[in-house]
Amino acid sequence: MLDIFRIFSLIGQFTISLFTVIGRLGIFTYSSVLKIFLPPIYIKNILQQMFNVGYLSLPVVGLTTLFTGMALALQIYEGASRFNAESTVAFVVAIGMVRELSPVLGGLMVAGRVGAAMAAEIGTMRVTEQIDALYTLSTDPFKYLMAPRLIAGITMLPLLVLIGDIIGISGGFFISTSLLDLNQTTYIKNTIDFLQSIDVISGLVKAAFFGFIVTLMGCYNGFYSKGGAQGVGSAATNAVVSGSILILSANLIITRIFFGA
Amino acid sequence: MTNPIIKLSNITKTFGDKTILNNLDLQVNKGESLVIIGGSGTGKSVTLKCILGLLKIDSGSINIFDRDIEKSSINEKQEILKKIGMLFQGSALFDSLNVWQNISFGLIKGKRIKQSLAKEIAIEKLTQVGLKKDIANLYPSELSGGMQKRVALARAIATDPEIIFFDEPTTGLDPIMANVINDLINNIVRKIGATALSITHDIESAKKIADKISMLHEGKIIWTGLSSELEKTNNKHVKQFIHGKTEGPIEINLT
Repeated sequence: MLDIFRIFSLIGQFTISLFTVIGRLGIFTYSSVLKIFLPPIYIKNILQQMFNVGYLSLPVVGLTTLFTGMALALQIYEGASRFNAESTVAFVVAIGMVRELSPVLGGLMVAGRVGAAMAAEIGTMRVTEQIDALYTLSTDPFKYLMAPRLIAGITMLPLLVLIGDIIGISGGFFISTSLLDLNQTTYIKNTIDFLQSIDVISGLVKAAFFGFIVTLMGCYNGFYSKGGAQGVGSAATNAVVSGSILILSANLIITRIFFGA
Repeated sequence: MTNPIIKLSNITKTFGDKTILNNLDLQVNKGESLVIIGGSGTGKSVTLKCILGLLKIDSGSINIFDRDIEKSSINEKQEILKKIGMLFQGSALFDSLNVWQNISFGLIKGKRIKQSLAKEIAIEKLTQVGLKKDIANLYPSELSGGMQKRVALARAIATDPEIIFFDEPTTGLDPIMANVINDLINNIVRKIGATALSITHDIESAKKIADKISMLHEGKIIWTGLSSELEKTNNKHVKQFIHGKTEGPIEINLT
């Protein structure tokens, strides 16, 4: 009899803590997003974060999309050659990169690079009372810390993904025309003819959402981190894990909205 | 005539099923320096954080400048905070900003003072806390703990606040540096005529910077008196605490 009650109690505890997290995240998201639009706006912080999220992530995102575009070309060529459809390589690489791989892999790489760093930075500010100090100096931490980061994430990730698209397609082009002797002119023609603007746009919309998710998870986990070094460490881990999972699930939903029948 | 500038009535604060503050009453009069002493975990820091509005109280009321903090809007709270300075236990300097940017943070961001003027004020405050002005461009990580504490003190007084809170101002400092900080607190508080509320478990420091001392125990103020009365009191809790005896009415929770 007692065991049954214990099960109920565990279910209850789990449910309560789940809803606590959802509620807390909801309030956090609401206040951070609201503060994006309210003055004062800290231009210097926004530019600094844009530089950090955008420019400094270029190497990581560039290399990721370069290698992915190259590997994709190899894979598709081998697969397509089974039914003599080698001419589709250009088109499949372009669609694969632009719609799916560039935003998702770009988002995941930025989650690892930026999300973790944000959680660690804000988490350290939390445990060393710097966030409390901001508040006592009549500065809203949401406006000063969160809003600039969210703005940087939402604006910079689409830009990164656009550059990633170009690099990824170039990588595919390079492999296809040098290693796999596809014709250069036909390859370019196929890419341009069949790629539609909605393919690119859907990828950029995804990127904006992913940028929001990555920075939100970084800020949220940092803001609520507890304890010392260990708490900050687990905040960084949680930021990357939750950011990645949310990116992958949001990817499915956005794809369904754009291209669902 | 007493004129309470900070008034706490019946404050209760719980974390989960742990009661930290239990119907706490406290008054600080204008221009006086009150020090709250008490052991670790008795709710000293929580009291301070509740007054600042960093923690929400469960019941009771907090009045600062005759205004109820709990019922104030965010803008009103920010206006009140502009008249308050706070020295954090771990200094809590912004490590992404250099020394003068740290000191002038409240001036530039809170009071919207021009950067060039704010820098001048910052350097003036730096000399007030006994530091040379050539450290103005260093970052907090390049300073020793005692220097960080003094920079933090300069930041707390930069806006010439009417109330200053000190959270364990001497913790982690050697006895000489602790006394330097005590003297600075005394000089500065007297000089700008501010009201001071400090929390500490350092009895020597408390006796030096306090006009009045209150002892916090189990979420309540159990004794209040002038700093000169501390040694003479017959209160058993206070006696045990100031002499650091292991036997007495205060139960020591070692687990």
